[in-house]
Amino acid sequence: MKLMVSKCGHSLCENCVENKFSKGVGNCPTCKIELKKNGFRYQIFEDPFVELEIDIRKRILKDFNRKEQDFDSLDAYNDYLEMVETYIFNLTNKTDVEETERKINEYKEANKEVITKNRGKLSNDEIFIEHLIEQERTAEEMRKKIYEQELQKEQEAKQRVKHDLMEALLHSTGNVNQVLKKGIEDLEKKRKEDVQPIMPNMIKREEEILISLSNDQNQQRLFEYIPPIYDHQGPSIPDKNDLEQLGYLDHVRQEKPVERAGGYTREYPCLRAIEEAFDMLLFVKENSLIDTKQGPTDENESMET
Amino acid sequence: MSAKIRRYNFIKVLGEGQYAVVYKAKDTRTNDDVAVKKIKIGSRQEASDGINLTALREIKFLQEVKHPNVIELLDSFGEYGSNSPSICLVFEFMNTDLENIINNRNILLTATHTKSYMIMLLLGLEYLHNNWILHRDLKPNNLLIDKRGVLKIADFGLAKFFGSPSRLMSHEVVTRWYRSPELLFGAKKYGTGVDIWAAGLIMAELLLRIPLLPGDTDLGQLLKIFEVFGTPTDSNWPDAKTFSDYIEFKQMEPKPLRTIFTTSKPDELDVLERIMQLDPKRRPNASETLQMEYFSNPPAPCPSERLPKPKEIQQTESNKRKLGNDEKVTIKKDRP
Repeated sequence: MKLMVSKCGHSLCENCVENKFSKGVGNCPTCKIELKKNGFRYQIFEDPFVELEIDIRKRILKDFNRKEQDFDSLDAYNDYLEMVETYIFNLTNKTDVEETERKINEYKEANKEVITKNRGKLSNDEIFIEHLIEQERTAEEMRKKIYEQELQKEQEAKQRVKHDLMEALLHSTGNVNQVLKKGIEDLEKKRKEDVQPIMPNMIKREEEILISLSNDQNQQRLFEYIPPIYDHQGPSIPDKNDLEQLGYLDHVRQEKPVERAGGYTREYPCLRAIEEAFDMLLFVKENSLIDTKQGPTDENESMET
Repeated sequence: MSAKIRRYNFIKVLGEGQYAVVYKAKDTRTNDDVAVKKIKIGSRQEASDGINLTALREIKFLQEVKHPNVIELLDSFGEYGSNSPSICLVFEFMNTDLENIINNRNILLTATHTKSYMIMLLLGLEYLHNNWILHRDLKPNNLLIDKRGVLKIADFGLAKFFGSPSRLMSHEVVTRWYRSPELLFGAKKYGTGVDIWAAGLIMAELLLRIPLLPGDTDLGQLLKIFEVFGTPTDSNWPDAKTFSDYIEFKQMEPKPLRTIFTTSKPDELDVLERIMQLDPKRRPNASETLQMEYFSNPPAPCPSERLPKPKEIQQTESNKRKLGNDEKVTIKKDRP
């Protein structure tokens, strides 16, 4: 007999559910609450009360989905967990049900955005567990591979010993029994050598994963800002912040208040004009001129004059 | 010309826009997937007014730029023999865009992912701004992701050179939700601040998974902005009252950003706070933003190849395999 349980926490056997709820809906025989047939599921725990708690917990945690990293301190997180547990306890034990439901709804209203945002988000623990499962899977695969390799090696070795023995028997002139005995001894010796622990020690694994996880985060390179280099093929362009001091800005019209408010500054046209003027001038610095005298001197001379 | 068309095998239509159709195609020379944007010119009569400005802009800017985080124009050619003359632009094929990733509920975006996307966006933006190009239409939909997870800025239909002392620019640019307050007030001269503002809202959207300021109208958009960042005052945005479209709003105080981004760390909030300031002059430029602590602080940005990919991409591989199996089965059945 398979027992099924519904949201009210009272269990019924599979056949009774089939009969009583043949129309799809009906009342719980124990507490008369209205139930749906598809609301029933197979009972896992002997005590239906546990099932009830699981159901309520599932429902509550769907909305109370804040993670440890959402809180400033561990205390705040613990207080939050305490609150959630109190709600679940109240609902399962039918104490202050109305008051609790009211509080839960209040929380839901107040934290609507956080709830939708956190949905589907994994906590650090869950990420760790996923990693653990992944690592376990790869370890399992590795072990299988190693085992298969060992098996093959062993078979090959056996074949070889057999072959050697045959050869020895064929070519030796001595006593057959002696050769056989020696062959068997060889085989034994080899087997002893071969027997090595295939299984790597499992105890350390969790630690290793932890280390590899933290390494994983360390290995990813932090971002380092490198200013882009633009080859203007011309004399170097003054820094935007030096334009005023160097007097370049004196030749550019002061921006109007409305332009300033829109984010336009006179540094823009000034810098752009300088860039466009200096671009592609094929300017060769003085010291490099000494090195390469045969360089395109014509342009340089005209630049200097 | 016709030889060039024959080089690309059109596979299917990816999407149709106002003035162009985008096809997925195969480059028969390199065997790579490409996206071909076919811009309609229409009949000779229609074309006599000149071809669509957005198309011209796109060609003009894309021919000049080359950066890992900006979409690359691989080839372009005209097709005038048929009854619908058109210009074709060939781009590298991109698997998805940031809007898809943000809206895909199966994808988990962590702090390292957000950081990585923002770095790629800002590097691309820094390059464009250093070359005096304003994109003017930044939004998740225009940030494409290639098969290696690299983000590339695309769609230069509204791009424009900036920094001219005399030329006036249109304020009717940028999709409304990402439009900066100075544009909404009708500024005709502006700078890199409009793109930086949009980048800030994209970052907010990466964190929240919903648009931060989804306004229905231009006025509603301003109201939404001021509800979060407070109304402009002489101290937080001098000279704002001089805008032609300036409207006085009921005074509102700025909301602390940590009440909106509840899970963000202080260095992350700092970036959002600085790049979404009402006064465009106070917003840092792309280079300055990249030098903020948030980007160099741990956790390290997720390497692009490990960024999340939508299910569909992963499934195409397994689908192919499935199809292959089915074919084999039918072949077996046919045998007597």
